[in-house]
Amino acid sequence: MKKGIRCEYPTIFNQKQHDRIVSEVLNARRPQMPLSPNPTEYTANDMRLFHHFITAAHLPVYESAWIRDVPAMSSEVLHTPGVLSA
Amino acid sequence: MTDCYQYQYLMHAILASAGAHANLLYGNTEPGTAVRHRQNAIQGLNEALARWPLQADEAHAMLATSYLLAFQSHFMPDGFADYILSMRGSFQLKDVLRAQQLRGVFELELEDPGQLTVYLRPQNFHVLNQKLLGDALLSLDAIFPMVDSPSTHDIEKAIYQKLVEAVRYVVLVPRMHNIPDTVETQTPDPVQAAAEICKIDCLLQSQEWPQKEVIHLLSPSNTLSQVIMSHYAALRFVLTPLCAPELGMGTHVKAMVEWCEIMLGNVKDDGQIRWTDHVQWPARVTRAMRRCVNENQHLTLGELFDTLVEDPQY
Repeated sequence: MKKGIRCEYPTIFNQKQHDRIVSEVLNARRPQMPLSPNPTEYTANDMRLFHHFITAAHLPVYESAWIRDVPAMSSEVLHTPGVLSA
Repeated sequence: MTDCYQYQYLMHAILASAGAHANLLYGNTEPGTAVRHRQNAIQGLNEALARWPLQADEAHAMLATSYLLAFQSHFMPDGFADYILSMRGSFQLKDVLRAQQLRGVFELELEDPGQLTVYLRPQNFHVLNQKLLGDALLSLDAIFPMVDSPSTHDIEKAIYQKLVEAVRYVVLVPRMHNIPDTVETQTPDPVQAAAEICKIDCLLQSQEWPQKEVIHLLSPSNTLSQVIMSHYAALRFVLTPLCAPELGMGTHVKAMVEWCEIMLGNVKDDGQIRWTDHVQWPARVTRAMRRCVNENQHLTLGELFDTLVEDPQY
């Protein structure tokens, strides 16, 4: 809208993207994680440490395991992509 | 693999190791946090070990926890015994996973012995301080009569022997009065020297020796073992130019210097032996390492490697 020109996206492109994403989400094998009856409460400092682990404090060998797979095994709360990339 | 359960003890181990690492880098801003998470991780891991038989997912979570506890020990000034015992636990667990073919995040194949050579840098042999190594051999030679005593445990003798061989392989002009010379070649062999040091690591961490023997070796009140192990720790520093793994260059070594300092502090004279005379060599190396830590603030293995390669007389 900066120069008075309106952005127009091709309808067909949007529809294709929409279909693909919906299809991927619906067909994806979603994690089945039973929630703990006594969930641990993590503090803000714990979140800071978790971020520190991902970015700086993991073991230097099998790096992909330490920054992706191991955190994912550790908690149903903290392994969302948003937290990992925070 | 990841679509299974949550393993709280693994999260505690992650937070524990991150806390110890952060304390090392930024100072102890949250005293007790790392220790509290460590306690929770150990408790959870013990409970998990009691749930037999192992499932593949959880077995790998347990292995990760065990590795992390060992990793955290690397940042703890009093973590040497914890490190060895955690690594032994990890190796044992890995053996179980391998035997039961429980596949998951971690590779379970046996380490290729050929991989060892990747970590060796025999081309740096020329930067080793020959005077320092000669003194190491003399220091080891001086404790030979105590090691040769019938009351000395076999594990202490085994480590002592490998230390002597490691030094013997890199000393150009060996001077020994008490130790029988078992090294046939007179030509320095830095690869073999580094291999002897790696054998000590394996000896401590594998199941080759029973836990009881290893605990005897690590006991702070066992003066002879503290003397031997302080030589081992000091020699690891001195031989860094020969065997520093590329992936480990970012590892912080401050706590390892503190391990040496604690071992040296455990050595006291008794009525018969002036033990403190026998740790002069490791004390000298440890003082140099302490100076290096203080100068660099956060000394990594890579920085130590560069310092020793660029300034062999450091």
